[in-house]
Amino acid sequence: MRLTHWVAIALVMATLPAGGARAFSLAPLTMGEAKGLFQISNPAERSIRLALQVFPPRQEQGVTTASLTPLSREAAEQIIRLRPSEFRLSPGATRTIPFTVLDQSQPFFLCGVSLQGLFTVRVCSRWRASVSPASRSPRP
Amino acid sequence: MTFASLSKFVSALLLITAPGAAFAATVGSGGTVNFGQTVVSNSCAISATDGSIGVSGNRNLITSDSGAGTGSAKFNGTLAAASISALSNLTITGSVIVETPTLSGGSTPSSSELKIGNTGWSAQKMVLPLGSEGELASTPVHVKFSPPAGSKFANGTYTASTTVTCSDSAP
Repeated sequence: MRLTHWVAIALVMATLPAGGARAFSLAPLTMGEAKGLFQISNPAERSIRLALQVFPPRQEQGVTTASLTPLSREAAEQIIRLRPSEFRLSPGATRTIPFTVLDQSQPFFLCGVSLQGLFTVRVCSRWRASVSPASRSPRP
Repeated sequence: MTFASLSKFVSALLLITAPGAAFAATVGSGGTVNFGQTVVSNSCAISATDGSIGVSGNRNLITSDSGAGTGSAKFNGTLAAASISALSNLTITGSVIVETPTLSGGSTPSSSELKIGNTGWSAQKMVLPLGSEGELASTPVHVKFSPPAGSKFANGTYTASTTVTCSDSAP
């Protein structure tokens, strides 16, 4: 890795959890298998309350992203099973949450959503629909 | 006690209390230290700091940007940009998307606009590509709202908000 890359990373790391900021990370950003783990971390110095919500995809300006309105809890539970769906992360904490995609036939985004403050901050993991569950192969 | 026996005793004492002596013996069996699990995969961390908005003296503008009005515009309230930053280890196409802002309060605005960094005002959502290392440096975000056509903002408490999303955005 070049020095400029390290400098860029150092600059971003220095600015990411700025004083008073709320922040969180989510992995993976692509669900490659129907079963797996989400890892959610809070790198900031403030506690954060998060909800895991399911959003249908939308495509605008050549970019695919999550719609603004989540599916209802009932509809979401038909698509993906995960517990808990709401929780609080203290500063520096990391939590892993197991998931199972129940309906593999439709694409969706599973987003960690911070509802505090003026921003609605989302980090989303994407599920691409498979033709059939039997034909699903691991994704990188 | 003779001098010779006394000097042997002192030598033995020095050996026992020498700094190295503390490391000479192992007592008890070794243990196991465990660490929690981690997920190695594409991830995105996003950080947001709230800004604040004010209203122009003539009620024709609600904004977070003191430069948004005419040069002589006076504002009530403390105007401050919000900020966002992100860091990702994406090996896929990723971006941060900032949606068109919304305003809740006494009047429904006729226009809602967004300004990110040094770009101009936009009434559309803005897609911010991540850098070569998956980074989006801390970036100021401003909002601006115009009152309903032909009127001014009514009395009320107004709150501006927007949605910021980091995701795999490949088509």
